[in-house]
Amino acid sequence: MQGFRFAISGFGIISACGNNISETISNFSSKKRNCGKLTLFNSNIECPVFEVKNFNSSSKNMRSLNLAFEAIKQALAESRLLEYKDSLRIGVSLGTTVASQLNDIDFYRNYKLKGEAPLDSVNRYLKGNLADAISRHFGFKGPRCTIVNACSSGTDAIGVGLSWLKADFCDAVICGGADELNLVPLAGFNSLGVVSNELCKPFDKNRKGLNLGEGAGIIIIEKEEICKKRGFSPDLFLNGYGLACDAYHLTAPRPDGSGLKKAIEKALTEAKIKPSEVSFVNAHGTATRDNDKTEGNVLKEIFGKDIKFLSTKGFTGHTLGAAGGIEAVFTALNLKLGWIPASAGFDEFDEEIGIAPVTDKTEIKGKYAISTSLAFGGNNSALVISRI
Amino acid sequence: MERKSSNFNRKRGNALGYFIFQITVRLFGLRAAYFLLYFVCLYYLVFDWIAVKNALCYIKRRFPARNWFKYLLDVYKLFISQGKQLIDRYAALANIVKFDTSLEGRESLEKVLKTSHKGFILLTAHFGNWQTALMTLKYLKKKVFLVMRPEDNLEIEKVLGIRKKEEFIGFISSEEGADSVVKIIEAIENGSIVSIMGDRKYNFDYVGVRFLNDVAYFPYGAFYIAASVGCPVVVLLSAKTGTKSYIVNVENILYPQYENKNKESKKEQLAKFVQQFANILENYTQKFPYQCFLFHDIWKE
Amino acid sequence: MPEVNEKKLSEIKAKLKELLVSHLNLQHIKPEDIKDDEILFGQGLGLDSLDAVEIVVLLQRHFGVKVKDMNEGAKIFYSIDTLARYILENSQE
Repeated sequence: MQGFRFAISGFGIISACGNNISETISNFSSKKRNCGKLTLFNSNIECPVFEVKNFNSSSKNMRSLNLAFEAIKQALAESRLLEYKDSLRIGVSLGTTVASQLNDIDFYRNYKLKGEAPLDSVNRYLKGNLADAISRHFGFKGPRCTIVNACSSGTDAIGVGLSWLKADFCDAVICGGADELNLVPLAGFNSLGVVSNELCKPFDKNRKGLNLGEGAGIIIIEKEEICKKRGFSPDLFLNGYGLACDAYHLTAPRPDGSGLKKAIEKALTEAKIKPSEVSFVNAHGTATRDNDKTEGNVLKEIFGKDIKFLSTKGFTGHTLGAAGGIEAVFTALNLKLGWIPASAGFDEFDEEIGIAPVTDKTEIKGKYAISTSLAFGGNNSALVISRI
Repeated sequence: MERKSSNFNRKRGNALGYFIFQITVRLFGLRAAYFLLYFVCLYYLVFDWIAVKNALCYIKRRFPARNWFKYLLDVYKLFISQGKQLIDRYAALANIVKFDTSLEGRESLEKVLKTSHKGFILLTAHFGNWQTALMTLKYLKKKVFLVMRPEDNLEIEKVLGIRKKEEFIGFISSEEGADSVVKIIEAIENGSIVSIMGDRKYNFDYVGVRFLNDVAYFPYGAFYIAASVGCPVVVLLSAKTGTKSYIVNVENILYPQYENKNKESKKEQLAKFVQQFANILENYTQKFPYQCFLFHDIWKE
Repeated sequence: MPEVNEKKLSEIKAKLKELLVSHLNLQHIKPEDIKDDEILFGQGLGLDSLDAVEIVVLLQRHFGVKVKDMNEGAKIFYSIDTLARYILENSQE
């Protein structure tokens, strides 16, 4: 009851599952999976992708930044925090992979073929740092940092933001992640043999790999006393964050899942709750053979066979740096709504995992939920989110 | 019918159009006029892109992620629904048709009046037919002041059939700054009712709250006044429930007040009440999805 | 016309300035910094119609003065000076 609490005063989302909250909710309800052929750029890799539709990126080569802006606008509108940008220290902590890429294929191609060095690419390098660009655009006075931790970037960015609040570096943080579909990660994941040429099936016995996606998910975390002072009554809170590394392999998770276990336990400890109090888990669930097996077993071990869990990557694809942010928003949204959607893509139980995600829209009665992320390099992170 | 022009005024239909509908109602009745409507609305659906675009702002959020054909159908239904209520309004005013209107929340409202010598703020929204819903409150024998822009007065007078020496309805201009405020407060202190539009922000101070899952912007002046003066806010809603029946609802009564006297957070404290208002409107859209006549993007700042 | 009680008037002005600063959340302004002929709305203190609500309520609660609509609102609310004079005139009843 007492002590420092950190409220979630606003959230925003854009992904293949919807360009705003109401579209997202509708697609969740109707189990609509907006997957299709790649149209954003040319590639001879044939696989389904989850593209954000009806979104005009105002600058072609800064799509991640534009996606981030869209989600941030929604979150800021809900929190009504923008009025306080001069009187409060507002930090920005965002995760990404593509927006931090120095490999700019267009630049290299132009240079090799025509000897030209297009300034667009230089511009992106100089002005495209997500957290910096956002902070400068709005004129925020808090710290800013772009976190590049592969697939756990979004979750870790939220964790970093939380640590700033605890250390009193600032009063509120805009955190989460954004990532656009791009040839480099597509080719990279494809070379590793983890991309499926069919619609992905997280936790399913016959899963063949992931589908890439894009989008942005943003939550605004704020010290509870700041909310009180400005009269805002929050109904969602960020209660805990845990991070642990496998120290095992560049791309494969540690088979015994000890890194993920540690991360989840740390988050639960900080939130001061028992595993039995968690009403659902938004799993990382990429639909690769390794991830789902390791993660599923860890969830079974910590929470028991009856835990309600799902992977929303069946609705959004794997959005890399944005995933942690998008899934934090989904977790908060589902807690607020009191239900979780079906884990899209799951059909057949896998004995090697031993537990199955929800197959229908499911009512949620508890107050706490967890979101997990597992990244290349062996990073594992977990968030505990709650509602009043 | 008239040609599209670049400054197509939002009051659709010309005098001839209205005349045709009026004659139809007089000679052939309500249903005949409704029948005509199906063709007229089809015309607007196909040619009036501005009206369709404005209607879609609400339709897309009330029915998210549908396909284009379904959306056009929803917009068509919305146009028909509004058209019917416009025809009804004329028919009632001209005493051609008697409508059965029931007032929900009568006891709560009367209790409010008994509790204090002060009047209250009547918060209206573009849902159903607020203008004629207002007339059901005539029995309270209190004067109702409509706070609006002076340029809109004439139209309302026509719609409500107000003659020059009307006792029931008065107007307070919303554009006179401190003067408007003085008149509003005086009216409430004298026990009158002050009617303020709650869902269009125009140029007034506004706040963002969740409505149909996304953040929409509503004006909060009405709540500010109510909290300062110490009077309740009664939400006026109405809906057409049958060919000749309507309900008017005044059950939702809000009591805006400040929990903490910290002046900085007034707007934020009032935001809670604005959110309650938005929730009330949202419930209404669940029950009567095609009676939200908000042809405006309130989700845009 | 009775003579304006200058002492009473300046007392009213001082109290008015304090109340305005505290009730209208006029940050960075101290009551003593407000000029007597400071314009209230638009320029000067830059108040808006929501602030007018506060002022009307304030007048009633702290000075016992009810602002009646005499279509003279603009003149009364023009500056600290005009507001103070209105208070003085109306609280002498």
